[in-house]
Amino acid sequence: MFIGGLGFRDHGVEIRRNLGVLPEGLGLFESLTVIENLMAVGPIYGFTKSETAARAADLLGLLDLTQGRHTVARNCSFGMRKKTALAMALLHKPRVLLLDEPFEGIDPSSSAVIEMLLDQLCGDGATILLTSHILSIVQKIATRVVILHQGRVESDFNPSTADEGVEEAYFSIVGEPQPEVLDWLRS
Amino acid sequence: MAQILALLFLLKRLMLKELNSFSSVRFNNFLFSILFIMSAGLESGAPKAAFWSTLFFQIVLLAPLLVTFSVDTQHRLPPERVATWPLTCTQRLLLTSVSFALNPLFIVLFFGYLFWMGLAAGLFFVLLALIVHGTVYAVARLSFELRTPAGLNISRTPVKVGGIAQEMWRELQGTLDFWTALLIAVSGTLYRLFGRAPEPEAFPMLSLFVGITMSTIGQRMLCLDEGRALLRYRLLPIAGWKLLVTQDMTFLIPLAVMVSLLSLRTGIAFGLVAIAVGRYPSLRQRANQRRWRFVGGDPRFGVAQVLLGGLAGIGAARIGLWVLAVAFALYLVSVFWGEMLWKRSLAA
Repeated sequence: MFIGGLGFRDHGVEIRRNLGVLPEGLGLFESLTVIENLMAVGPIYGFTKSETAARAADLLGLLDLTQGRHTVARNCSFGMRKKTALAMALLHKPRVLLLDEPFEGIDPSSSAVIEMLLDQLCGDGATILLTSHILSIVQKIATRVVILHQGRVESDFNPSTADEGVEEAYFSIVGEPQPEVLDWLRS
Repeated sequence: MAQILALLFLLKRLMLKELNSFSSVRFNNFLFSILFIMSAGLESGAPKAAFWSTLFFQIVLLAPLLVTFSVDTQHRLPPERVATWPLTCTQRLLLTSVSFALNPLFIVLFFGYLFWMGLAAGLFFVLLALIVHGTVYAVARLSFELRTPAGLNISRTPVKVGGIAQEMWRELQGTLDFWTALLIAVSGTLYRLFGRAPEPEAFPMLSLFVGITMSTIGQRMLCLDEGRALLRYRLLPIAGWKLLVTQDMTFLIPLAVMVSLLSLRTGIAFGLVAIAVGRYPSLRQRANQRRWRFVGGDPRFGVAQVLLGGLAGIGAARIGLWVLAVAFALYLVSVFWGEMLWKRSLAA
């Protein structure tokens, strides 16, 4: 596997220095608080404590985590955990971002902030690969959409130039849902 | 009635799922050693007399075990879920009591004590269980949060990997192995400082016992938090050996502090060998380690840790510092090998 022209086998450390990942499992240090999670990783990317603290404060403020920054990760809500993991992925301003469902479980205002941040990073030349089931957001921010169905690539297009939207393309592949009303749920 | 029956069936189903608590205690080096000491007592005479002659070890073994039973009881039926159920206060109290008493390990232990060691031993076990459960139940309802004192905040140190050490240190404190080792170390130190004519030969043994109590952690360094931090370690731009050494030092330094007034060289030699032997399972085996339990290890490596670590510890105390040097060399080899295993796991 190559990222940025570097092979993972021989340049694992260099690749990871320029890679930001929001994994499915989030990869938080469960015993540390939100701020401690960020402070723990900054120096490993080569930042001083004060640089890390300044970046962490900015990200926490932007993602509305300032108030809960002293909460231990294992006690955080799902949204807080996700935002903390996202902040950890962004802290070192990576050139490549891999994000798994970054908008899932996130409040609307934070969602808008994340959209803006991704847009800004993209404008600066970063490569962002994200997975999402929230098709309206994908339609809005993605420059290239790949739809996977049953392990196969079914569609690969640019939503701004395509004839149909992401949602239409998706349902045309997986089929329209057939909602069924349960009798016992009726009054 | 139907409501209570439904809840009892639910408890039964949850308990069967929970039988994995056997696995979390089965292969712990400390529990193995305690059982070994107790079985030696049983072989030497009548079981009833053996119970009372090994009472200290019984309490040291049972108290942490009962804490895990009690914590399980609190978690088996999530409080936030139970709070939404249409139950009276009496029914809720009944539910938690039944939940605690129906723990399969609790039942097995109770009947074991009753039949092998007599009614008095059985009643003693139940009394101890009630005290432990009552304490855990009360502490869980206290409205305070345990915080690490600022003085112990390792992440504030200028070391780059301070955050990793901080995480490891907190996870270490979430194991019963750590607190049991601390209890033994404090008892041993008090014996040395204030005991009437303390026996010098006992200090290396006590130091060894502290090491054995901590040693299973050496097999699970990377997954004390159910392996969640492992994902982050894989993403960080840090060499494997740095990660391993950081974790090892976070394990060794508290161990050294615990045994500092007993026999430092015994504790360090044991610790180095225990880490070296535990390197392979730590890097290659995945375990669902939960908080506030004894760490569950692999019996093959556990026996090797106790035997080789014991030899190194006793050797360092009786033969000389060169045994400590051999233990350190073994440790260095394990770091080098661990780095290779780590790289291989990243490339996979």
